[in-house]
Amino acid sequence: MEYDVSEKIKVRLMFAALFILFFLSLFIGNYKISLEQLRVIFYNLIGQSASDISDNAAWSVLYYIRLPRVLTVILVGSALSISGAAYQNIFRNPLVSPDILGVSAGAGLGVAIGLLYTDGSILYVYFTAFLLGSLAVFLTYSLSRLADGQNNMLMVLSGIVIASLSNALLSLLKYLADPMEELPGVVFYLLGGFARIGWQEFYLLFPIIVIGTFILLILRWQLNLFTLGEEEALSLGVNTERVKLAVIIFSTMMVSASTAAAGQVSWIGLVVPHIARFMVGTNHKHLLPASAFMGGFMLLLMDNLARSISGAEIPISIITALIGAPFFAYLIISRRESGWS
Amino acid sequence: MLKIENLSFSYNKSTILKEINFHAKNGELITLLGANGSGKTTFLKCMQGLLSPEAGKILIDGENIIQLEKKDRAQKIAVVPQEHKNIFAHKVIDMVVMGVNPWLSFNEQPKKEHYLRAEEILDELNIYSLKDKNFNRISGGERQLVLIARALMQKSNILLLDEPNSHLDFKNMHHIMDIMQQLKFNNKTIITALHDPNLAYRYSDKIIILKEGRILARGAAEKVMTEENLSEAYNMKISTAKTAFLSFFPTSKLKKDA
Repeated sequence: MEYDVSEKIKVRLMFAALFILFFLSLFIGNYKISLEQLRVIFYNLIGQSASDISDNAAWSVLYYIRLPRVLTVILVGSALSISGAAYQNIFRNPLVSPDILGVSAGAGLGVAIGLLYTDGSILYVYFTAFLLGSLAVFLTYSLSRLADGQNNMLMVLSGIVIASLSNALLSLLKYLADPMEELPGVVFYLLGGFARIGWQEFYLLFPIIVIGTFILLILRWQLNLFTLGEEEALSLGVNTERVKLAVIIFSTMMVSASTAAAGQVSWIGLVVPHIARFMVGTNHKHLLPASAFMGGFMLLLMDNLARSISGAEIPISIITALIGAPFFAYLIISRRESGWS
Repeated sequence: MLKIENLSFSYNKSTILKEINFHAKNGELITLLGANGSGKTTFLKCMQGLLSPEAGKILIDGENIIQLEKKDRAQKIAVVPQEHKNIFAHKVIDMVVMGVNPWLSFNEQPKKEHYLRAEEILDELNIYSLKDKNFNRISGGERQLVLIARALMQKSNILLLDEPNSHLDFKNMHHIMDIMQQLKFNNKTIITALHDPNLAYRYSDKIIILKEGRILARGAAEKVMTEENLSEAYNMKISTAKTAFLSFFPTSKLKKDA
């Protein structure tokens, strides 16, 4: 007798959808790849062809441009969504997203510092983004503990304070930056996009997201108990402080790394967990993988739009907001009777 | 056997509980009575480990549970909260299975046997049909029963219930009290805070009346629930009457499927 057959099937279907979209996405873009070129590449790869694969333009586009980009989009979408699902549950608040503890704002500030005050290499940008993202969460956490350690609403409010502070500092940096040389770089970086992504970015992001996701998956049962509220979870023997801290640390890690790679990608971390919850329910055994697959799928879809709607690429956060905001409005209206379950 | 010794708790220098002493045997239903702010909830929170008492001991079979790890304490004491909706709702069966958590090691997930046990408990409480329903979309009385089922899943000998009847209608109110009595006969110790002295009188073995954090009176209901004690506890004139008024109460056990 199984209790969650339909949920398991749905999660597998989501994975299948992501997998199919992944393949399709490799063939979307300005450079059209024909079946004939694919056939040549295939023979090259299995060693049946005399020609050198590195001379093949289609292969270069696929391997050096599209593959790292598509994989990174999936990583970022998954990371934002899975940490969004965990955050919403820890704070028992359907309006919480990775932005809320000041992570995104702090990491965005870090990106700007990295671009403006170091040589702008990707390692520095990642490092400063991570540092400032973590610092923002640390400040949020400390501020809420100073006010009242037990109250999660205060934590959310503290997050808003720290996010505003980070955004103000970011504006200050932008204001001070050279408007011709430096400012456009910072603005476009933070508007978000995957055009600059190569294998190097992917390799930097990959271990962080895998570790973070793995830890959240380990905590899936504790997260279920957290749905009941901290007092009830505690009465059932959950070490709530420890679980909360682990979720905050590893989600922060994933969100800062994503911001460093792709800029501030809004809405995904808020909306996708709701869609996933709507489809597979609140059990985190299914909800976390569903959020990850769905987040990868949605962001990939939007990135495909971003790079194919017009000749120039549209920054990803514009698309995520244009689609995410009305969709969230729809969710609020359609779910008003049943709560968020 | 539960023994509370000299339990005191204060918050911001004001005393909430002062030198609480009592003991409970297995199979006793003990009710805490008292006005709002008399310390009932604080006492229950100390028992759960949500608040650390300033002084005193809570001994279960001689072991002071204040120092226990969270899971070890949860194996000994189960809490039935007031029924409430969750922001993100689980299926009823998932809610009940959560009660097994104190018995799982870290990173252990509930297994099939736990789900089977949860089904048995739902069946015993006659709410098996709710199994796959959304916890937020059943009635308040049903939710309270599911929370009791979860506490039973926890297998602990002591059950704490903080005003379990407060949101319930007349029938469900008595139904829950009825179930508490059955649990008592299964040798569980039940400690509950109640608002209604009439319910307390009807169902409890022992009554503890709290006033301003101190025990005003404790003992068998007939002995403790006097006009003087109740008037003192609630700070108003209270009279007892045997025949002067009509009173309504169920005369038969509630039908199980009711």
